[in-house]
Amino acid sequence: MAGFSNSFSDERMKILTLIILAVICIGLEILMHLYLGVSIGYTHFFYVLLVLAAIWYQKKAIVLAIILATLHIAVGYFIAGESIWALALRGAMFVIVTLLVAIMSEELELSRKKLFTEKERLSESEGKLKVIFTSIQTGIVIVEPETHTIVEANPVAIKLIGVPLEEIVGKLCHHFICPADAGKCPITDLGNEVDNAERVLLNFRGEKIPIIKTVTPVYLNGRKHLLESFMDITERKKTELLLKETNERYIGYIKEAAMRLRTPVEVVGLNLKLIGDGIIKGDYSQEEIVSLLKLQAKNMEQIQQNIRDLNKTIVSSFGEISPASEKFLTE
Amino acid sequence: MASATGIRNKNIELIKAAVDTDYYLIVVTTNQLAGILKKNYDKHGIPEEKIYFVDAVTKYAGGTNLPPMKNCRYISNPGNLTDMGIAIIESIKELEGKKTCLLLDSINSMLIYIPSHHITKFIHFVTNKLRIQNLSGIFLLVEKGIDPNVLSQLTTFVDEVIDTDTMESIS
Repeated sequence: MAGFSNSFSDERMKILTLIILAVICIGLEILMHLYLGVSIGYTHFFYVLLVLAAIWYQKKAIVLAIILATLHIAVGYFIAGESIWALALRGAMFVIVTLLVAIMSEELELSRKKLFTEKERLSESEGKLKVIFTSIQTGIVIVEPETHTIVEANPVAIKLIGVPLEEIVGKLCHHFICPADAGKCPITDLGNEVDNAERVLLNFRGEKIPIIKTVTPVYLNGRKHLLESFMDITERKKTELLLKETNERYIGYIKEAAMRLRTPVEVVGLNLKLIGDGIIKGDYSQEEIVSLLKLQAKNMEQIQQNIRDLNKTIVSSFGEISPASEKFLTE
Repeated sequence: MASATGIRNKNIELIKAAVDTDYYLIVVTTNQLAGILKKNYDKHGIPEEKIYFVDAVTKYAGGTNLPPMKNCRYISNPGNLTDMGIAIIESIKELEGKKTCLLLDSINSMLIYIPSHHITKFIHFVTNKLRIQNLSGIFLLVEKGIDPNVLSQLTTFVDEVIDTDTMESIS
């Protein structure tokens, strides 16, 4: 039907075809009915004209059916003197058949239009998805779960992996997006969920790129697939590492401060107590007392110097600090 | 390792025990004046000829008027680890052929003058010297006054860590 419809799609061809058929029908009516007196049989040919007219012009074809029916009845009744009922029945059949085909044609046309609209909508939707798929700043890879082969990858994924799409599609997923060994797929073999999980992606050099990954089972073309979406978190990891190093340095300074300030102050405090006890007991000479106290004074000076040294290190190592605060800490 | 209050007594106890087993001692002091220590040792009957001092604090405290001491090497500054190392090596040489033990009193007081990583390197240097010469060494420290990480590093340089309060081996 589609091929037939297509070959006659040209409007002019349709009208011409109908005119030729109408001329043949009128000719048959005159020849068969009027001259030869045959009132049945030839009218079957009328249906070719009426069905085609109904298919192409739907209910407008009823006008043609009425004209043909009137002509047939007029010739039969007024000229040949035939029974009006038989003629009317034939004429009515022309109109009924035309009406039915017209209704079916209208339904068909409506369905076709609906189908076309749906196709347009799907095409538009597919276009939008394609735009999203290619412009989203998240890597997307679609994996066939039975063979673990990659069937599609978006530009971000291609860029992260570092090889053209043709070299990615068809490859096993654990060559690139999952470093798990074959047979140990966390999703299909181990039954785990991967939802915003920190994982690594292997690029073409075998370098591990830290990513946040989510794997979602989806149905594409009626078959189950794994949609793996991921984001590169290299910069975040670098920041985390930097923060960790900074924290470790802070802790290092705090520990060093505890060892070089708290403990020495305790040592000096204990020394002074013991010196005091010794003086009371008369253990030390005058000169020894002076030396012992001088030593503790020197120790305290050194502890002050330690505080300044640690402050200087902290000031030079950690971020911005106002000149006034820097002066206060280091002088 | 000892408690902060007990470390001074432990110095004398350990030296007495070492001298009783015929050891000569090189006492490296960074907290107490050698002259005061000597007086204490005399009081406890420790023979002075068996004790060699490396005194890092007397000169530092300006004690120039103190009478000169036998078997004592003075260092001008307890933060000067090079001089301290040289003085230790010279003392070891002087005691060559004798049963010798080095006692460092204490790592905590050294922290007043020297950053922890330099102390770690210095202790490593001294322990290596002692091992090569097949000599003994005792390094006194107050456990609570030192970062566990530094302590664990120091532990790797020595054969045994003993809590002198309980006399139990820790390592």
